[in-house]
Amino acid sequence: MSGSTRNRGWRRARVVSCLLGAAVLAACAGNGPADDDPASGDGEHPGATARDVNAGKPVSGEHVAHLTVGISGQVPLVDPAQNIMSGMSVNINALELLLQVDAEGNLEPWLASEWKQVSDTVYEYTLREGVTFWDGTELTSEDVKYSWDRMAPSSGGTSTIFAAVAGIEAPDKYTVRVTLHQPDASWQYVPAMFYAAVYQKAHAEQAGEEFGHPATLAVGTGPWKLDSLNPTSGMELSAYEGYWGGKPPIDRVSVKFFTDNNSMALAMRAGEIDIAPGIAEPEGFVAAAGTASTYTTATCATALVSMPTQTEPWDDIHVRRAVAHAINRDDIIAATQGQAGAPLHTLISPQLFESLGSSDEVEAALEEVETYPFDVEAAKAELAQSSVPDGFSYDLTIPGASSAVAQVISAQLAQIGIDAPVKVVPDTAWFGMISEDEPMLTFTETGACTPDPDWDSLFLDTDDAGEPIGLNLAHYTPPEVKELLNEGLLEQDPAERLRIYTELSKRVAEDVPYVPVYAEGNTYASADYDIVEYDSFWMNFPWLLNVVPR
Amino acid sequence: MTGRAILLMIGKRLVALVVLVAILSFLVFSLVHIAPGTAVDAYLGGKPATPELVQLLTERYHLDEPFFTQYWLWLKDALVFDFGESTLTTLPVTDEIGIRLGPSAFLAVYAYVLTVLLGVVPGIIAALRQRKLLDRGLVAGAVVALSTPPFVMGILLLYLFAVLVPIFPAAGRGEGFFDQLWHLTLPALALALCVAAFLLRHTRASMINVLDQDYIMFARARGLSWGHVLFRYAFRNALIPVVTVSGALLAFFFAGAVFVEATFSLGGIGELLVQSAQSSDMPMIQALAILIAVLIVLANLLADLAYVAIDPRIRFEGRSA
Repeated sequence: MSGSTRNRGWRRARVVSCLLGAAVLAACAGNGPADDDPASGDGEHPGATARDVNAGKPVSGEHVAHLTVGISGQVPLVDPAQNIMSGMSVNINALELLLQVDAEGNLEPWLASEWKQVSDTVYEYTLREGVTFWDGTELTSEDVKYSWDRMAPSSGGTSTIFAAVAGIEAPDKYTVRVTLHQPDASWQYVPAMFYAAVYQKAHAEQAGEEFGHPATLAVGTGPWKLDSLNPTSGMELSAYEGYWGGKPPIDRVSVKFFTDNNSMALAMRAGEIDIAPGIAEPEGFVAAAGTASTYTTATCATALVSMPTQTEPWDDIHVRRAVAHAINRDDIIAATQGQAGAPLHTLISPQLFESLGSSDEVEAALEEVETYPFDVEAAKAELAQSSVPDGFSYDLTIPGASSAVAQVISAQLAQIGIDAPVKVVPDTAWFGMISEDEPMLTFTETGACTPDPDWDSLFLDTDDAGEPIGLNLAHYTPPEVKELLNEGLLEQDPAERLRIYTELSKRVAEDVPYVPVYAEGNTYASADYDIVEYDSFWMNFPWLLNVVPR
Repeated sequence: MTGRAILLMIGKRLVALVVLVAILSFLVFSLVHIAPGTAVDAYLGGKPATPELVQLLTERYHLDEPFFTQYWLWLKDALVFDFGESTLTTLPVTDEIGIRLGPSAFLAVYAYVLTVLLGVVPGIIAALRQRKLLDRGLVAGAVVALSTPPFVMGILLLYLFAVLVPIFPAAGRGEGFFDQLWHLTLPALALALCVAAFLLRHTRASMINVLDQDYIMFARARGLSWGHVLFRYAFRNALIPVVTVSGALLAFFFAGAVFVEATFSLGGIGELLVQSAQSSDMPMIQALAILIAVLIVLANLLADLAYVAIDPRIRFEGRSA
């Protein structure tokens, strides 16, 4: 199975889940907020501070008897193999990962104390000794193998992310060996992503088909035990005394599910919830929530305007450049009610380059990438050179969630003579148009990203026949781009990968199939608590360990 | 109407229900094949079409069998309440509906009781105090309540009684009878007020109409007490139009409370219905369509039985003496 096909389903699932309202999935900030972020005036904010304690330890030892967490959306079950969205941001406090991504975007140990890449396709992880499940039995490599094997499509798992895996072995009690079909540099991050969570094999086998369901749940090694789940109202968790990092500081955690942002804010105001990560429309939330304040981090996910490059008049590069110059990011960001993280000028977020070189190297590389600053005159000049110098009319087709932003974009395009009336379609119709390859001018947020620059291949993917797949909304299919994408995954040397993704960025910037608008934001709200290191990957980590009282 | 006639009526209705559900089941089953794309796409519900998953679904839903065989196999499962698994959450559809059924039914009945209390009682009072200050006040209040949609009322009540004066909880549905009663008071009020206002005006008009009838004056002239005339003559007759809307109302409160469910984070049937429609969750849509049809038929049957209780002259079907 080729790399592109492998990723298609997961990406689609991720995007679907996001747009269906699982804002909690928006887990992808980079390293702290960007300069323009109103919530990040100073670097002192706990959200922007890195964890300074060892793996398994809480940032604050202060005892909290009971913490109530509000999340938007519902948790139907806790088995990542059956449903990628399953536990959302709650699971991760109970079912742990082998690795974690630190504040600088580097991999750090968690359940695995060491790991190494044995060859281009073989990775070996050494488990920490003495880690126990909630029933006291020790975590072994068999549990990891079992958990990950169940993610493979061949075992009926709904995720395709593990399709790159040729085999998983457990040669001894503490060693897990993963062999890939072909080199794939983005694999290194998978053991640090929430869907690679580990649970107890014995319990899962005993539970059979009921595994992960509300009545059976799952048994993990995490600092908090899953006590109960009601898919419509909430979850209860309690501290696991025998946790390998020491007894967790919060005794009991109640999670409440909300379907409406405003209601969640009012519940916080009424004192019924203490903290709410992953909220939407921070400005509105704060207005309703009283004394609570929010912290927003800019993530590595890209919100963008997409133009159908194979359809008239969008096949004209001058039209696309005109649009790129006509977009005023600041005004669009203002329309998001604090939901946007920071303005963004490149398709692949600079944050995703950070693991590929020193900050100087990355900066130098990114300087080569062309950007299109807001400039109405330049936009008009580009349009004058195009096949439609007097402007034209084309619908801006969007799912309901983007309607406020779309109105602003439409008004900005009107300034240069492009009449783009906003056409709101139901989510399913919008996805239908994508899968039918119907051309559309659109705007989209994806809601989640992974730490590797290959993440943005989501917007550039083509199948073996060169047809657009995944979220390739622009129908942008140059063979050179496909080659660069493949090279980027096969190549293992970071410096070389930096070169490849810079090349790719330059090419995409030159052709402008997309106008990157802003880095998506992720926000938590609370009156009494903060979450330390609230960045890209906060929910790929037992983030309750990072909660500190104000 | 004799006891036998009533049983006959119930029997006939139940037979009609079975026929209706049979027809409906065929229609909702066909949805999978009518929907855009193949039947496999419908069951995939947006998940990636890996060969393994396609094969799994083909086997599970017998998609390689002829259409009528598929229907028969599906119907056999449906008869024992097995509608398959939700494509959105992968939980069994029956489980998903099961956990929401209780609170939704509680909310519907609670809202219904409140509607009747807040609609009928003030309606009668207004009719008796016709054109007096109290009447004017009640009617004016009803106009305001009638023009306030439940989701606005919900936010208003939430703000007033859960935030400003925190007497009721802001979210959730509670466990056990009294806890549920406490949790669901605001949602039930939000649902009930608008409809109660409608019912108030309805009751008032029909009561005024009845009070103007000659037989009321005649009964009074015979020297019957006012209370007796009011409850034996006027009230019973005025209640008939009220009962007419009851059946539809119960079903509406049950499945149509989506905004209120969202406002108070209740997780009910209405929300499930919208969510499954949005995500094309086919097995869930099928089960909910049948459930709601059955409920509507049963609620109307209850309303008809209430007719008979109120006015024995009313006959159904047989028109026997």
